[in-house]
Amino acid sequence: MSIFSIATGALQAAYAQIQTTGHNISNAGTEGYSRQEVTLRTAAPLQTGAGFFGRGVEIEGVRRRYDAWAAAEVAQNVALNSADKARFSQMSEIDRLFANPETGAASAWADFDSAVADVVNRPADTNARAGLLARAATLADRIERTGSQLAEVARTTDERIAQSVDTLNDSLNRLARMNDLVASSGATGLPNDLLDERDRLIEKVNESMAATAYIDDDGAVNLFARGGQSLVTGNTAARFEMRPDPDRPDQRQVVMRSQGQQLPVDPALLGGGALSGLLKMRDEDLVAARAQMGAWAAGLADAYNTAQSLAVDGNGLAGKPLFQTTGRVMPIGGTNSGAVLSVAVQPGKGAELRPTDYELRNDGGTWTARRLVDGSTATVSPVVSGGATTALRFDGLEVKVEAGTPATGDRFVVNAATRFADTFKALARVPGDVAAGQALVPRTGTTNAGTMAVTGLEFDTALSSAGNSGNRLSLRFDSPTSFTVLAANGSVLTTGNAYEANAPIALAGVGRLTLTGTPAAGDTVALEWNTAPTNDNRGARQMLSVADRPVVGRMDGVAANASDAWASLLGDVGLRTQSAEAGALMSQKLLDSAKEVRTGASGVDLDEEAARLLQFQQAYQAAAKLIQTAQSMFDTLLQTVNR
Amino acid sequence: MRITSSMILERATNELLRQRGEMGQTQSEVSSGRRVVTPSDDPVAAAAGERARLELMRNERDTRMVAFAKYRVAMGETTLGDLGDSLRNARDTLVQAGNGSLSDINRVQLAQQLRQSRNELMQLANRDDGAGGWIFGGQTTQGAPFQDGTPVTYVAQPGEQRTGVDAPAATTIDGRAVLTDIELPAGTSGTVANSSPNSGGVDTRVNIFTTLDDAIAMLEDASTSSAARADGLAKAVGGIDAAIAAQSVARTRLGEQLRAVDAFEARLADDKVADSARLAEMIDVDMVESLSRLARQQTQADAAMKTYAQISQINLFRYI
Repeated sequence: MSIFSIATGALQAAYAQIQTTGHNISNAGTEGYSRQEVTLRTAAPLQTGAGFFGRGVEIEGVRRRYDAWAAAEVAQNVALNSADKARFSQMSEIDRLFANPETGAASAWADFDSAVADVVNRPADTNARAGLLARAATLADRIERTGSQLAEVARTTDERIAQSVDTLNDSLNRLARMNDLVASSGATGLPNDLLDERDRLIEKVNESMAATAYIDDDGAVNLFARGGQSLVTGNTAARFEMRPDPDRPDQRQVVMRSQGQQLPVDPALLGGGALSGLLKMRDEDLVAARAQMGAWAAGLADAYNTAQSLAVDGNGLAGKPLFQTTGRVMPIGGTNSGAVLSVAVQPGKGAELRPTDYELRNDGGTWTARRLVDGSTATVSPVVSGGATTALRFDGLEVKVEAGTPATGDRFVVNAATRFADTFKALARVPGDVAAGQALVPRTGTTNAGTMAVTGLEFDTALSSAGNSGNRLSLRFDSPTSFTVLAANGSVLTTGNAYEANAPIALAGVGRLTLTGTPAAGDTVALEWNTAPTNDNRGARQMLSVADRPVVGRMDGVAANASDAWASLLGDVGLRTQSAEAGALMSQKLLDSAKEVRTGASGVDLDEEAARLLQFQQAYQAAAKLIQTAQSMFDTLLQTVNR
Repeated sequence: MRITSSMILERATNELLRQRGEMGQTQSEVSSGRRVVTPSDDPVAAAAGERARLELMRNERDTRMVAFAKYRVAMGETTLGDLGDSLRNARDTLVQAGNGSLSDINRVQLAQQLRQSRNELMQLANRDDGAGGWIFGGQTTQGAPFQDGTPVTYVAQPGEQRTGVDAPAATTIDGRAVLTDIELPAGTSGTVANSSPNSGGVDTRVNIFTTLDDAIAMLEDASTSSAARADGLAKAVGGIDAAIAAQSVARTRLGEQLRAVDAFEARLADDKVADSARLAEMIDVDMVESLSRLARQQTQADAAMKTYAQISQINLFRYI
């Protein structure tokens, strides 16, 4: 056997090795590339009488340095990190909305409060009232803007979910096609570079949702979701879609179509991937922020509207609301009777609101309102008129039946707190409409002999003083400890009422009157209709007290004052963003170390390749030298023969 | 473990990016002066800081109301002072009119002087603050609180208008108690001339305008006997003394109120200092700490870049 053929084999082997080294060097920076190397084997020996003679080297193949465990580890960490990163990136959007407190809704509220103080100082000044209206408009605008920006985050989150679904479908399809290639390529299997590509696709799937890959003996890949559903089997891939959630018509859900079945994707079972992060962010973090913002806005609005309704404007008319906000009720499923419902804050009950949406169900006469945030139920009080249910009241809300009659089994989703901020507006008012006075003025009798004095008058009934004069009613003390309430015409309404200094006296159709001191028998205090409402500031002073009262409803049912509620909204957004960031940083570290392990096994090191290059170059030169040697041996032989 | 070229590059890049991010954060802290920019920078501090900031804004609101109350108290003080001057002028005139050597013409002249004082009083009683408010506005009034006529009536709602929430301060004076329905000092009942708001029976209350109007009419009426005149004038002086006393009581009340308002203002100022400090502590940057952190981060970044540049020089390809 010829020395030439041994040399050629060696030459070919060295050439292949140099070529592969070149391939490695070229792909040193390619993400997911696995370093390749030529595997060689000794050629089968030649048997002679004198024994076995080696026949040089043969190329066995090119293999990639690949660690299946490390690759799976990377894929898993990609899923976890993608979930955290997606949640963090969307949370940061919300976080940024609350970055400048000076231009935020709470500052606008404090400015509005200042404008109320100006009216208290100068009730007769039209400019002060105009200033109050201007600040009310600014406040409404800020709330609406923040609400709309939060709604915009919801929209972009849905968009990102849709994008994630698209890339997921694309990756799954390409994996299925690759399985097809495996089937058609027979025993040779896939080229190394395509195997790298397949790993990259599996990683890409994990960016959207956690998936586990099993490689068949024949080289085909089977991909399964965390919940066990098959994502890719052979050449068929599952398909994901976004569609309106039949149980939550106000939002869209992700469904998986696999082998003719359509399954809603449960975010809790995704186990990772951007989809799980985005869905969690959309359904928990964002809902919490929107609902808290809405409860804050609606609580404040209701408190001011109530204060206005119990006050009188410059004409002596009961005040009209300053702010308006509305929710939305959507029927669930197609089987509803077609009744149309609306939702708004029940006037005066803003502090009972809770930062949540509801599922409302008609169980035939009785209704159930389930709070979507925690699944608890609210007590529903139906308002029945003429045998028909006209409204349902729960948690400070009033759901009205606008059209039709709800049938048994009808279900609705009630978007209340989550929508109150983005639908918030100030109602058009003129300065004369601002109610700064009160309908009644307390007046102690001129001949009173005791020390009794009026310290407070609060209303619980909306009254208009316009067109009225004289007394609404009056109190006459029969002794220092008991009094009689007299109607305007002097007739006795109630008598023998016990008097206690500083204890509010409830007066039907008016409110509470607080007196101090000790009256003498025969002393009187009258509640006169206010004939000078333009210069009265007592109604406006009641508006000032809104800042001190618990007006913002919370999930535990205990209302907080507006400053505290705002601060806790901010703290909540901050904490959620911070925890999302911490999660993303942590999982990034885990991903980095998983990638390092994989790169340690599969990555290209240029120094190593350079060393190998020298080695293979020398091998090539040696093989060439072998040919040269054979050549000169042959020449020598020829010369000998020719001589 | 095998360390590959791409791993070194990746690590270095990540590290440099992280350092640059941290430096950017510190730099923006230093340039904005705020340690907490978005709530997530420090959620607890952001919430506490926001609470302090809203508290400050309310403090500002209350300070404005206090300032207004002080302004109105000062205005009330001046007006009551002027009122006292007019009352004393009227009293002097009345005393002068008691002089038995005066002729009827002299008395008519003094009645003119008295009318002057009465008109001054009327003007003072209806003094406004130039912005729709009335010094003697009571709880509320539609237009001027006193309506001229016989008798002069207080058409405002008696009482006081108030401003403020935590420490309400009166911004008007109850005109009824000072001018048209003055309580007579105990034991002096029935000392006033001619008529009073509660005519008939024993007079216990004085309307100063009625007192003056009656005195003027008496001085202008030449048919009044000197005995009746002396008696009437004495009673009129008694009425004016009651009014001067009521004016003085009202001034004392204003003085007390001013003290209370000053105390509240001082408390607001203290609160402001405390809230500002709390806000600064929560939100603002500690410059010394931030700048030294920035310097440390710079050194680290510098070292990381230099070492990376050096390490990336070590490469076998350079030698072949």
